[in-house]
This record gives sequence, structure tokens and C-alpha cells, in this order.
Amino acid sequence: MRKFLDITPNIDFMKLKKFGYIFSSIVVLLSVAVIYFKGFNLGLDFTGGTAIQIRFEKPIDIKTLRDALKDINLEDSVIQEVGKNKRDYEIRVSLKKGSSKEIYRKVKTALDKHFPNQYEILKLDYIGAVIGKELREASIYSIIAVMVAILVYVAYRFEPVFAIGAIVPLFHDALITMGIFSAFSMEVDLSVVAAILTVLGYSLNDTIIIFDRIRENIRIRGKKNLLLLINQSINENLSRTVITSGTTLFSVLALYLFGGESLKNFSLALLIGIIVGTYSSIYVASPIVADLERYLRKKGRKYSQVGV
Amino acid sequence: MSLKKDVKIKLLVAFSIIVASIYLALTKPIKLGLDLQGGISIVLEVDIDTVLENNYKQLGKDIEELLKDKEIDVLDVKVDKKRLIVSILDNSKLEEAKKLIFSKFGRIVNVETDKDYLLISYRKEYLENLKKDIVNRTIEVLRRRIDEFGTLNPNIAKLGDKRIIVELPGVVNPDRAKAIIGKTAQLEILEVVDYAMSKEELLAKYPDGLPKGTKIIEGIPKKYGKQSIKEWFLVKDTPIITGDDLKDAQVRLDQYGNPAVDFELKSNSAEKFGEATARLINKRMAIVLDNKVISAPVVRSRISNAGQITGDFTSEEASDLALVLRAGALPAPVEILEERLIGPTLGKDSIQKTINAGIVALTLVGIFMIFRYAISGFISIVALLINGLLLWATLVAFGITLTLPGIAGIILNIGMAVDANVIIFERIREELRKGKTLRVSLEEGFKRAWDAILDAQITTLIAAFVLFQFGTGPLKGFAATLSIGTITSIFTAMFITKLLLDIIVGDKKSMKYAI
Repeated sequence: MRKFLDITPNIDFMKLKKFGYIFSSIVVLLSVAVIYFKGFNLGLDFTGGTAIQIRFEKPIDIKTLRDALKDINLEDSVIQEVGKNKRDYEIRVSLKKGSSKEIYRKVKTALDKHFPNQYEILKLDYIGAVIGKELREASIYSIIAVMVAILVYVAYRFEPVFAIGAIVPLFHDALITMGIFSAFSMEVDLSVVAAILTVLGYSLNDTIIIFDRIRENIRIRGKKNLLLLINQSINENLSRTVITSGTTLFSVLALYLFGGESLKNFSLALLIGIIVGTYSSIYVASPIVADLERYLRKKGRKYSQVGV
Repeated sequence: MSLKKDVKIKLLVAFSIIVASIYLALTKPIKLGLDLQGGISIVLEVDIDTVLENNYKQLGKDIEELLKDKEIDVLDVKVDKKRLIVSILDNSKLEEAKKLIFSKFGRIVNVETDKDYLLISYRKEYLENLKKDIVNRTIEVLRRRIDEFGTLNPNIAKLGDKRIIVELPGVVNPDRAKAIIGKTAQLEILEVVDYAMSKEELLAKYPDGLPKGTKIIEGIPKKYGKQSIKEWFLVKDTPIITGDDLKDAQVRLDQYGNPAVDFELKSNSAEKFGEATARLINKRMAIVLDNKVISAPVVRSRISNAGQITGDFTSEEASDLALVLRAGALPAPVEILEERLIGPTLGKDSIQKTINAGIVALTLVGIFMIFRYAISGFISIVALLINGLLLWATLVAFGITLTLPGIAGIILNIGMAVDANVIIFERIREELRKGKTLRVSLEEGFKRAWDAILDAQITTLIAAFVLFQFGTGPLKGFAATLSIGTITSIFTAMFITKLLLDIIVGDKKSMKYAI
């Protein structure tokens, strides 16, 4: 471990890039298809409605709870177990069933009747239709805003070819993360959007660090054999890429495993995003820079000075 | 070990910063978000349109009077929430009418003529001021109500241009919180002209339309034994008194021992009320709260300075009603857009779990860093702890609220903050492999890593800033800790780590387990 990747490896990533392109394209297309056909399991933040989280003194079955809600005609609500101890449950009721006041009263009446003094209301969320819609829009805008800001920044600090090389993997990372959430019907709430934004910022770190090395190497050796140079830069940086992502993964994994239910969706989105992001900086970002450069050179365009 | 002068100065700087941070962290408590300490947060939207419509109605009356005074007969005044449409009998007087209106109300309205109509709408500045004024007054009233309710450390703030967020920490009954916050509490006492058991029945009594200056208001259902009865009332438009005339309101018991609200009137209002009640003996008057008749007692004798509101109140409802009447009515109705209630247990639960996650993260990262980078790795963990301290001190110093996602941001930061160190250390190793001395490699490593660190952290900051703009309460906390932690980590990696390494390595050309 101490000497892991200490000697610069010599993996031919540029040879592997075809595999990278094909693999990524398939996964991205699959993600888009799943999102398109299956959609998301949207959280309360986006759908609006009322959610009440209850903790029972003793473990109970979900069926017992559902039966208790029959009296108040809420037995067809979404009832989810929170955690695994059979004590915490969340009841989610759509906006159509009434205001949070009515739902709260009804649920309380039903629970008082069936489980007197054996429960505690942990949490109540009510999101009106207006807010739900606004949050849906704001989520999309903010993802676009982050991408545009990153594009501008990278174009400013590096050059246009790099900016494209940086932004394509971002789409890739965001789409695959969302695709996985869609495929497994995992709940997408505001915190998942926050995690995706964070992943966009963070997964760029790896890309930038490789770009920075490419820029430095070009300064020293020129652009003659760009493919070889990019490959070498990735190899030189491999230990960094793996370790920086690794330490962050330690943190996220700790959060996911021990951080409690409230942060589950959030840390899961981070976990997926960071893994996908690390892969994409090696297999997507750098090859795109190399191929774009080659393509532009073939067309005879003058993009002669990479870097500052 | 003798230190160079610049190292001594840097050490002094680092030491002062750390001491100041420790002082801040120990003396000032951190603000905990509602998701951690429990409580309720409610987002309200002020219904400006209703106020506008009422204002237009009043303006319409004023204009009608103004024109009548100058012998211009008004045919019709139409009101919507955007403008008034006035038509007059003699269209040749349209210009004169326009001038008249303009000279009296020109400061606040625009007047246009459109064929046979006068179109009157409020000016933009007036509308802006009105909106601001209403929202600010709403906040004031809410603050008075909540103060009377006795919640500690409430937070009431404007959110955008017509929304208000109310945060009440602690154990709160959501029903009562909403009764106190969401109720407009517009009290009116009106003269009852007629009443019936249904709206249809009432309307049927007036086949030629309702008498001028009256309107229909529904009553709240009342229980008589097992039966529930709801009455409808035809009342005079203009109230005898309103909530503004009240001096005080208190909970009392009525003659049957049920909770009721006693009110006392201001002296000049008492006179008005006395006259009206003298006239209305043996007739009913309607006590209307937020456009619903809550009771309609028969006047038995002249009442002047005090009265009682009865209804099917529980004692809590009665005391909440008295409270909102004392604190005053909201200038406009409000709609509850969002409500989040967190019980105290969940907050404690969350804190405990995230702290555990943090300890696990720190241990994993620490073991890894020390294993791979030996002495330098140990230093990076010291720097990481200092980073945590600086982050905490910054939160405290700026009064930033710590939320559950905020703690997640700190834990994430444990993993991200060492990134800068990893980039530097790997670079130093690379330079060492090229055969440079430890001292030279150290300098090179820090110098060359700077660009990469800066670029990499700025992209994280971009994401955090956007998140801060769009995120709601708790997520703003995440954006805050993430961005502050990112900035402090650049400082600790470039300054603290470097300083500690300089002290330990000194001028040595090589050192076992240095990195």
C-alpha cells in the first residue's frame, strides 16, 4: 500500500479508450432510456404532499399500520419502513387527500386509537404544489448553471478543447447517476440533486488534475505526440487520482453506512457519482481532449497553443 | 532545533489563528438548524392580490364620490386585481373626469381613457411599496403573535419578495402553530339583516337581488347535541367595529362555563359600538372572523366598551384567538406553502449518527494517510483537524446555522480536504524519485501542486455556490460547510502542512519516513 503506484505505471489508456467510449456510450444510452421510460421515484420535495414519520415503541408490522389507517381511508397511502428495526415508518399522502392539517389530525386520531401512547411523531413535512413545481424547475436550472459555470471556468483557465473534454464527462456522470437512481427506483429528493451538483464539482477535480499535468507536460515537451503525452500524464497522475477519490470515498462510505436514514439518499448519490466521476476523468475526459485535438489538427484549424 | 526567521513568523501567525479559532469555538455556541434541534418551519406566501382587489374596491368608491361631487354621473365601476374600469353617463365629460381623478389620485394611479371607459391602475412604485409594506407589516404582526405565544428564539424572515419563513424551535404542536401563524384574524362585527339555514333559502327571499350594501356570509357549523347546524347570514357591508377597534382580548368562561374570548374596545370605538347596539336591541349582530360568522348573538341591551365572543372553542382555541386578536390582524391573508416539523428525537438521533460517521471517516482517512505518507501523513491529519477547527470557528463567527446536511458537508470535507495534501505529497514523491533532495522536492512539490489544487477546488466551490443559491434551508447548510471547508482546506494544506513539514524536515537532504 505504501508503495502502491509509486513507480509510474505504464498502462496504455489511449488504447483502452475505444473500450471506454463504447462502454460509456452504452451506459449513458441505457441511463437515458431508463430515465425516459421509467422516470424517477420523485421525493416529496418535488411531488408535493404530506409525509409523516412515526416511531413506535415496539416493532410493528407494516400491515398492522396499514390496517390502522383504514379507518381514515388512508390505507392506500405510501407507507415505507425507515431503517430496519420495524419501529420507524413514513406515511406519505398526496396533495389530493387534503392539507397537512387534516392529514395530521386524521393520522393522529387513528394512531391514538390503535396505538395509544405507543408512538411518537418524528417528523412532518408538507410541501404545497407551488413549492414542488418551483423546486423541480430550480433543480434543473441549477444543474445547468453549474455546468455552464464550469465550462466557462475551464475554458478560461485552459482552452476550449479542454473545456469540452471537461464538460462531456459531467453529462456522463450526472446521467449515469440519475440513471441508476431511476433503474432501482431510488427516491430522488432535493438532497439527491444537491449530491449531483456536488459530484459535478468534485468529479471535475480529477479531470482538472490530469489536465493540469497535460498542460504542464505540453509546456515542457510540446504537442508533437499528444496521444503519448496524454497517456503519460494519466499514468503519472494515476496514484493521485486513485488516492484522492479513495479518501473521499472513505468519507462518503462512512456517511452512507453510519450516517442514518436522513442522509441515505444523499450519500448514495455521492457514492455513485464519485465512482463514476473518477472513471470518467480517465476514460472519457482525456480521450476526448486527445481526439478533439487530432480532429481539429486534421481539419487544419490552428489550435497550436494548448495551455498558457 | 533553531528555526529560521520566516518560519518563526509563520509559526506565530498559525498559532494566533488557531488560538483565536479555539477561543471562538469555545465561547460562542453554534446555531443548530431546526432539523437538528427539532421544531417547525413554515413558509408562507402573502396574498397581495386580495389586498389589491380590496384597495381597488375602495378606490372605486372614492372615485365615484369624487365624480358625483362634480356632477359627473358614474354608470359602473368594475374591479379586478389589475385595474378599475369606470364608465360614466356623459362621455363628453370623460376628459374632465380623467383630469379630476388625476389631480386627486395622480400620485398613486395612472389614468387612461379607452373609448368610453376610464382605465385606472396603480403606479408601479405604489405597487412595489404596497407589497413591501404589506410583507413587512405581516412580519411585524407575526412577530408580535409569536412573542406572545412565548416561543424562544423564533426566526421570522422575508424569503424573496412576498414570502415569509417562520421557524419555531423546540416542541411545537403543528395545529396550534398554524392557528397562530396562518390565521388572518380579521375580526368584524356586522349588523345582521336576515338569516336562513342555507344560501339558497336566503337568496330565494330576495328574487330582485340583494339589498344595496349587503352581502352573504356563511356561519361555522355549530353542534346542538348530535346535530350540526350551519346558518347563512345576510349582513350589512360596513362593519360596526373591526379588530382595529380592540384594546384587549382575554380568555374567559361564558355563562355556560365554556371558554370564550372577552374583548375590550378603545374609547372612541366604544361610543360607536354603543350607538349601534342601542339601535340593534333584540336584533342579531354577526361576529365575523376571517369571513366566517363564528357567532351571531341577539343584542339584549346597549353594549359599549366590552363584549364577548362565544363559539365552540376548546380552551386552547379560545386562548389562541385571544392572542391573535391582541396581536392584531394580518394585513393580508397568507397561504402556507411549505411546512416541516421535526420532533426532538429525530434531531438527537441524527446528530449521534452523523458524529459516528464522522469518527469512522476520520479514522479511515487517518490510518490511510499515515500508512502511506508516514510523518507527512501524520502532519496532514493534524492539518485536517486544524481545518475542522477553522471551519467550525468560521461557522460560529458568521452565525451560520449548522444543519444535518451541513454536518454531512463537514464529513465529506474530511475526505476532500486531504486531497490537496495528497496532490502535494504525490508530487513531492515524484520529485524525490527524480533524485532531488528532500528539501528541494518539498519546495518543488508545493510550488507545482498549487495550480492543480486551485483549479480543482474552485470547481467544487462553483457547485457549492450554485447550491447555496438554489438550496432550501438545510441544504444551504451543506453548501456553507462544503464551501467554507474547501477554502480553509486550501489554507491548511498550503500553509499549515508546509509549515509543519518545514519545521520537521528543516534543511535535511533526506529523512527516513518523511513521506
